[in-house]
Amino acid sequence: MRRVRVLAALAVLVVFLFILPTLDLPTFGILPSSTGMPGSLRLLAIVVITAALAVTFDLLLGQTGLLSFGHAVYFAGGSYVFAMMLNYTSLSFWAAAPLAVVAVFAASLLLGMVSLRVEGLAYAMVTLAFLELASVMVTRGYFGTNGESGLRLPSAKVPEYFIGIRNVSNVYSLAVVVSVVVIASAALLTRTRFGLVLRGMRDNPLRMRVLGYDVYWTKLVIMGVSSGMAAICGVAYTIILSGADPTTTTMTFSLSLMFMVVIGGSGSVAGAAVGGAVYALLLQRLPALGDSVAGSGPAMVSDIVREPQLLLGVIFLAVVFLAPAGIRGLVSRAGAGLATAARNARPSRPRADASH
Amino acid sequence: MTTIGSVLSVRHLSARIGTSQILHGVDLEVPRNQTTVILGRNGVGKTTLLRSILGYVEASGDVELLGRPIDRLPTHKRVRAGIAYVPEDRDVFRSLTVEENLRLAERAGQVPRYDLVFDLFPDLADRRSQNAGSLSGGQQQMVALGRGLLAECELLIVDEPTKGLSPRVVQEVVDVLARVKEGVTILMVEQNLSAAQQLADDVVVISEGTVVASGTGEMLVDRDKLRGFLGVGRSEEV
Amino acid sequence: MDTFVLLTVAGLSIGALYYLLASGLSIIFGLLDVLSFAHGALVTVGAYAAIETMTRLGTPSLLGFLLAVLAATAVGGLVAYVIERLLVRPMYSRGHLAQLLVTMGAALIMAALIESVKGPDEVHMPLPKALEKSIHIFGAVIPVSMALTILAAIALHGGLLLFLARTRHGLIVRAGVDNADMVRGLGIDVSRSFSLVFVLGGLAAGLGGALAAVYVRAATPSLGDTYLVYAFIVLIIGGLGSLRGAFVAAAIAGVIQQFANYYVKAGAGDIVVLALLVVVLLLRPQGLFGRVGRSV
Repeated sequence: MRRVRVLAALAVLVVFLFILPTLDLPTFGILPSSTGMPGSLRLLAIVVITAALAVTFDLLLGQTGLLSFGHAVYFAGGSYVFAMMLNYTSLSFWAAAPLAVVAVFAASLLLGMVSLRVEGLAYAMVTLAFLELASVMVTRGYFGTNGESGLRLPSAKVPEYFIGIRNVSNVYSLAVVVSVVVIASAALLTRTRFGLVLRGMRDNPLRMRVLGYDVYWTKLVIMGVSSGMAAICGVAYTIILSGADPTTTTMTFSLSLMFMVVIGGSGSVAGAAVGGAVYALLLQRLPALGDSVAGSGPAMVSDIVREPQLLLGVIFLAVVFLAPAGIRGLVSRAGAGLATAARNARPSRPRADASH
Repeated sequence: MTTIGSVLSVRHLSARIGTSQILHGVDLEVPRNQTTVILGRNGVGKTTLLRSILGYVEASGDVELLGRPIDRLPTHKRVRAGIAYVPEDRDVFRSLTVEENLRLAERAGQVPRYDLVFDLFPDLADRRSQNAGSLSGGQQQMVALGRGLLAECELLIVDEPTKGLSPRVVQEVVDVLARVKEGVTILMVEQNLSAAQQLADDVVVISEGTVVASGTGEMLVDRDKLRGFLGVGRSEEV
Repeated sequence: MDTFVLLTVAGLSIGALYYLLASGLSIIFGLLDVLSFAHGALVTVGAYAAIETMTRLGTPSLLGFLLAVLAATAVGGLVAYVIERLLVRPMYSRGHLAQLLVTMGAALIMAALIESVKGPDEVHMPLPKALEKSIHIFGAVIPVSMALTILAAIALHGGLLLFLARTRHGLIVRAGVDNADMVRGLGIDVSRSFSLVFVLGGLAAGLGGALAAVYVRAATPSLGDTYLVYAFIVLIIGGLGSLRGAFVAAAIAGVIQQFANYYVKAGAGDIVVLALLVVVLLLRPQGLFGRVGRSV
């Protein structure tokens, strides 16, 4: 029964996301404009893709207990390989997109074979090293990555319905489709037997080893799957921005995935999605918020408030300290609190009567 | 609260590890200058009881050392209040030398009793600069006991000192404990009944996280009755 | 020949910077099982502290430079102390991930604070004349600043080894790496050692920041990030938890990086170091000096 209700709620949410461009709802300053406007739609597209990216990371950290500092490299990889294929080969848009994902998937398996030779924090550190390599290649502009300015998609090759302000709603729809597919696949994956094995790896790797599961191969498989999904998100992100963005290869961006999952509540697909969405929204909107706050305070304060990273850091620490289970934990705690309150509010309690 | 002559009193001690409740309200008195041996089958909470007394495991209930409540203190302060601890599986610092292991047990304001330790374990004196990790199980147990005896203490807590040792070494360990037990209050967990019999003044039997029987060392003579307390069949080895 | 010597010395000096960061991380990891992301930001903080001191003292002098280095070191240690007490310590009971996360939060906040106060652009490091000079070794012209950085790393390494081998605090740290619970069981407050190693790591990172500012003649708010990544790489190559391994690996990484950058192409050095990491992982995943068990 509960399951049906959850599915129904999700279906409503998905439909809502799809018809959002036609609704033109007011957003009370959360978005730059009402929902139907191109600025808001583009931002929402980034938000839903970031939510999906956070879910791919949760497959590693939350589900498998595999801590990676460099997961963004596969997102950036999908983005750059796609952009490079369009720029430097004769591949068409719709051929390059899946090929980029396959290439990143294959690369992730190779990198996984190397990095999974160590465990725990050492593994995480190695993944960070790979990210650093990507970062160096991109900032120095090797292999046609075009350096700090990013690599734009050649507009001749991008289908017309994805180009220009008029077509932002198409780009937005694409982002929603990609996001829904990625998140739904991840959610389904966690419900399979393989998903159970992953959680077993997370909770008791020794036990799983004794039970005859190959920890190395299981980790390699989930690394490939989540990296491939991240590459899909990367391709979509490139389409939204009309180009590959070098900041996706930075350490800060990669580590922020951890923020997203923790903000949402590690180990839950829904929590990670919410965390990713909240993070993207905060990152995009905090500067504007800072500007509006800054007008009233002294210069020093306004400078500080204008730093979105600073506020994110504070929010993040607050979550770690005050709400260890993230937003999901807060929600379920609030739910439990409401339930208790409702129970206590009931007029006649048998035990209270007995004590009189 | 404290019974006259008790070095350690434990009241209503309950502890859980993760989601499972290990101890259900244990009461325990350890009389001065006596050796109290805790018996019980594997997994009934003997080690958890010792670790709760030491503050390693979060527990509720009262723990008093010489009438002074210590249950709110962190582990190192409980130990400084007058406990020496010889853990299960020795837990020697493997990458440190024997001498360094012992040196860590020195306490401020006390003269370390190296004479006593090297007199009890002449072997250790010869192996001062050997890495503790390279010692045999019996030798490691001697390092662990030496660490426990180096500083004077009110209560020596020893967790299964004979576990995993060969019969000859078991007897060596028992002999050492028999030598030091005069003048020291000892609380120990011991599965080896013959070792327990040689050392115990008092016996406490634990089952399913509570004390099911206690008495003097005489209890160990009637093995059938003891088996009943331990909850094992006649044919089983206790 | 002189190019060879110069490249070697330049490589060793950049390796020295990696070691200044990696040494602290190594001991912290050994004792607490935690990587401190905050120590990358401490390098940045140290660099800005050094620059700020030099700038305020007016005309660059050798004495002023010494003061700047001291200030950077002290600030690194102080900030590390604050982070440990306020953020990391409450997380000891919450597990390693929570500890890692708070150091990341701290790093983010520090970088953002620096950027909001000092701006995102490079800030120039004024140097006294004495440091701009060079000395002649084996026919090569070696900048004094490079020699100084290498000496600082060697002194730190020797000092740390002595501290660990000869002092009671060092003994407690080594024992804590083996089994922190048992250290408590001997009546020793091991959390004081946690603070101590955090502060030691912070001092080294602050010093590293000052020397990094000398090396690149400037600082940016993200200065420490790159060093942090290379410190991580050095730790893995050397063997996680091995101080000697970190020392040797830092030197190797720095030198091959310089040679590749010079002889192949700028930026090739990063790829070569990564390649070394991959080779080490494939052939000897525990690292050059790593053992299967852990020890400092």
